[in-house]
Amino acid sequence: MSRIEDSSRFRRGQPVTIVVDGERVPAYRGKTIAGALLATGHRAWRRTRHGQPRGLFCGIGVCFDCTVTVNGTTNVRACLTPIADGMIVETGIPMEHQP
Amino acid sequence: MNASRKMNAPVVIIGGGIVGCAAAYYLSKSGVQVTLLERSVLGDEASGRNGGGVRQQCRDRRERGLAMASVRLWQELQATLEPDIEYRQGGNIRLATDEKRLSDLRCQSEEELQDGLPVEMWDQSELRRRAPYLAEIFLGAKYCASDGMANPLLVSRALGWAAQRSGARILTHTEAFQIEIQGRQVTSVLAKDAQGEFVIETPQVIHAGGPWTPHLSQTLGVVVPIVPARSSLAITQRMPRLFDEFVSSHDLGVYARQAREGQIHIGRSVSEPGETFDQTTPLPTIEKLARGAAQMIPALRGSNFLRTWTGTLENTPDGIAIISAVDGIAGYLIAAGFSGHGFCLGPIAGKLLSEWLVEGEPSMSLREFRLARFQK
Amino acid sequence: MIEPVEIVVVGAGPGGLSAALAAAHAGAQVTLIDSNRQPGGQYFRQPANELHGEPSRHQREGQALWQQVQSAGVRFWAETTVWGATTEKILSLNGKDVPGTIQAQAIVLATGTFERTSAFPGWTLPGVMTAGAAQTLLKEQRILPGKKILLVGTGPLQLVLAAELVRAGAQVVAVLEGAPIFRNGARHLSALWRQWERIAEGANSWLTLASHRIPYRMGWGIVSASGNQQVERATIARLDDTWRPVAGSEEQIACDTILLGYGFIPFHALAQWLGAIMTWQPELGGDIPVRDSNMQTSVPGIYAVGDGAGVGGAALALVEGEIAGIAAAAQTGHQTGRAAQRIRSLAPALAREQQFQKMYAALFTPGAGLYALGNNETILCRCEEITLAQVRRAIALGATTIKEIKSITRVGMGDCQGRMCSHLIANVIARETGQSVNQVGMLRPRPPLFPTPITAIARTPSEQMEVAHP
Ligand SMILES: Cc1cc2nc3c(=O)[nH]c(=O)nc-3n(C[C@H](O)[C@@H](O)[C@H](O)COP(=O)(O)OP(=O)(O)OC[C@H]3O[C@@H](n4cnc5c(N)ncnc54)[C@H](O)[C@@H]3O)c2cc1C
Ligand SMILES: Cc1cc2nc3c(=O)[nH]c(=O)nc-3n(C[C@H](O)[C@H](O)[C@H](O)COP(=O)(O)OP(=O)(O)OC[C@H]3O[C@@H](n4cnc5c(N)ncnc54)[C@H](O)[C@@H]3O)c2cc1C
Ligand code: FES
Repeated sequence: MSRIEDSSRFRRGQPVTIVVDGERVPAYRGKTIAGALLATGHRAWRRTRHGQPRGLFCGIGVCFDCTVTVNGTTNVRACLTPIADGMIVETGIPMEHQP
Repeated sequence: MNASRKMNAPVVIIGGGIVGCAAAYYLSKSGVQVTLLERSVLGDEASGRNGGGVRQQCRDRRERGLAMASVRLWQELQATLEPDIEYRQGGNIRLATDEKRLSDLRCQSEEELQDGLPVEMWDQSELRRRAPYLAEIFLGAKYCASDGMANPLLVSRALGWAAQRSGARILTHTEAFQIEIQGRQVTSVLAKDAQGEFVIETPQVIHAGGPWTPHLSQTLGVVVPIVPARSSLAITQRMPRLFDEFVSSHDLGVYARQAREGQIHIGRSVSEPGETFDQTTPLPTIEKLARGAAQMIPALRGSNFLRTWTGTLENTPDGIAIISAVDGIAGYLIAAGFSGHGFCLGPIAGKLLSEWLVEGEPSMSLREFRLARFQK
Repeated sequence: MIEPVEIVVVGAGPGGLSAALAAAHAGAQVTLIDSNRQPGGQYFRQPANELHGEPSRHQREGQALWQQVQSAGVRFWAETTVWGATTEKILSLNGKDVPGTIQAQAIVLATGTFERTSAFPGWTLPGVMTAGAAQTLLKEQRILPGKKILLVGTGPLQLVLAAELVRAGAQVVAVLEGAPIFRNGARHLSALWRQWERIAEGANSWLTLASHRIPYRMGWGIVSASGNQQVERATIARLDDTWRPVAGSEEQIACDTILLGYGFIPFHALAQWLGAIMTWQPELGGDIPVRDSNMQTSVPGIYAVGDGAGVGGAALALVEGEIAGIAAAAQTGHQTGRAAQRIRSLAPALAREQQFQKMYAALFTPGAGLYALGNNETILCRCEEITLAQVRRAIALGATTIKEIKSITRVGMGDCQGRMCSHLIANVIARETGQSVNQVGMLRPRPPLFPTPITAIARTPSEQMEVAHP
């Protein structure tokens, strides 16, 4: 949703770009994938097998709701994984969940 | 003993694994009011933890006929049981990494064809063509198209609950601790549940207690040579549909199948040494499962193990089951010691036991499965 | 190959840091393991390395403790998850540049908790998340979870989080406290004695909320959430003593984010795998290991501390950690003469925190109504998308135990290993079959603790997987 690192107490990390479903998304180092997605207004990025939207839920890596595909590796938890410049993130229904 | 708790049953089945549940199912369908005792819940042991393979090929010749008859029953059960037991005939591939193994498989295939089981030998290029998901280390394979798999979590329960709907009394969390005889005739089973001990008067017991069978048969003075061993499985997270067959390699020591939901189940095709009822999963075994799986199916190298578990096998000295009356004791049938093949054979074992009691004789010979074969 | 280690501490939150420090001070070789990138656990959660700026008070406390731990010579393995454990004190690890398997002389488990949830209609909509998720985003990344935020749950942490969100610029539409605190609170006044620091933090938060006119409604809870593809509004209601919504009291409230803070469930799997005898203590979060006064479980040499051994907050975790650290070091032969006396000297602090823990449990343990909010279409298992209706159908077929429900419906078989749904399902089965939750039991976790790459388990990199062509 919104970033608050511009508040006086914090400075954000270096700007980097990640690619989310083919789209370039600006982000800042120190964010997790979930953080970067939320900060750019994405609230739901996974689709379940039944087509339901899901995003961040537990935030600490225990619920597996937030998973994405990162550089080809499926089932990566967006809430735990720090972004890196050029990282390729695929959201939506991971291949294995497609009927 | 609390005399106020007494029941009667024409037949008592001890053990709610697939064998006990199948017996209850077929007996109930024939109108016999069975009582089944299970000390845990239905299918909680090997019957609910196994690899799910329903295989006829690569069997001991003595049990090949039973396996083939069982497959016919599996087809019927798939059409009738609820919940859906996920049985399907996706084929079974037995792999060879060396010439010796390959020629053994070839010999076996001749015998199987003679016995009326359709199997095929695949050379390396045929294997590549038919199963491109396998690593390139295999020289060839034997294939049986009518083999398949089902979901072990569902089968015993579906059988038991169907029996219940046809009038069977299913007592879970109830353990039989003694079988009593008078003269040479079984008269009752003593059992205990959360409320305490009670008596079930019965002239007929079917003892299908898996690896625990010897403990209870001892109360009758009957020695049943079954020893426990542990066997473990792992499953991956869901994967894209990769294959339909049940594949196994004794050289790598693993087998694999992809469940309907997409997870890949990986088990050890060779048993772990040691007689034990311990059901923790040894960490070195998990490692072996992971290594074997990744060697057999390269696509698994990018996958994650989601869960592992362990069940208790029931091995006899000659590796096939005991489905048998006991000389000198009327009203006591043993059906146990399936030695790691009981999931496939459960339905036919249950059907034959039912015929035995209802018609006086099973429709297939059970000579090879007599307990007396060990009493030489 | 199994690498021998002396003392291993699993979890680098308050409990683990404190245990590692005490054991290292006594002279033991300590290895501290945490799956996070940074030490601190939940309470001391540090801002991401790359964010520069002034940390909060908790974060500064955490940094100070971490510096002591480092200077005491503790070896820290970050981003390393313990995925398996056996009764021989063997742990399996997944991490970079760490051994795959270690065997310890003594183990301190300080694994903390995850959050309890409630399955109400709409709880799977994006925008509904745990309070801890919001807390973590805020502490670690300085990100707000949404714009119009509703907090529902129980306990003072809600109040603190709401105030932090407000100070960071979010609009908090309301804070709903499920417990009727004022009715029950008077009985616990004695325990509040000497909890000034906590009261001050609470009061401060309270003032922030009051000055922004944010409603704090006691004895209220959520009934459902709705919206198209994400949360747009919530229905809330007054709760009776068992936390059931009172019919006719419902209100609608517009929001884009709902934070659930219904307390914590201990991570107890490792203790169980290591052979510790467990006990069911719902007011302390659920299944926890039985412990003696040295924080030792029923297995000699296995200690458990902090929220993972019974929810009690960071301050209790710190004391328990110190006791376990001293005891573990004594066990491996360090300062054996002084240990008992040092542990005795911590008794007053321990007693004070345990009293707070009791009060907290008495005030803020959700009632059974929390588990009765779902309707037939409500999903109970988020991973496998299993609804209440499916669970009811399995019960109608003949299933009475959680094991059977699991095999029939696939609840708890998904990627989270049943962590999210186990307590939800157990409560439903208990209600529908007339048993107690304890009788129904929880799903038993099986290794690996988290989905773990096959290559890490096999401890063979992918390219070495090929076997030689025969
Ligand atoms: C998401 C969340 C947010 C919270 N926020 C607050 C807060 O802001 N203020 C507050 O007072 N309380 C908060 N709490 C409660 C809180 O947990 C504390 O009371 C305190 O942090 C407990 O300390 P601990 O040492 O017992 O556990 P934690 O601080 O929870 O530390 C446990 C650590 O163990 C690690 N761990 C667990 N299992 C493994 C494993 N198998 N392998 C490797 N590492 C492992 C975890 O990564 C974690 O870092 C929060 C709890 C949660 C779940
Ligand atoms: C890991 C593993 C993988 C396997 N893979 C396959 C496979 O792919 N294909 C295949 O065909 N077979 C396989 N098997 C073997 C197969 O699972 C067994 O042969 C089969 O399940 C045996 O069924 P059962 O009913 O005889 O015994 P069990 O399933 O062991 O059931 C016996 C039941 O009796 C109960 N019991 C025992 N004593 C008493 C008593 N005194 N009172 C009350 N209850 C009692 C037990 O609690 C238990 O539920 C595998 C086994 C394991 C362990
Ligand atoms: S939000 Fe739960 S695992 Fe990422």
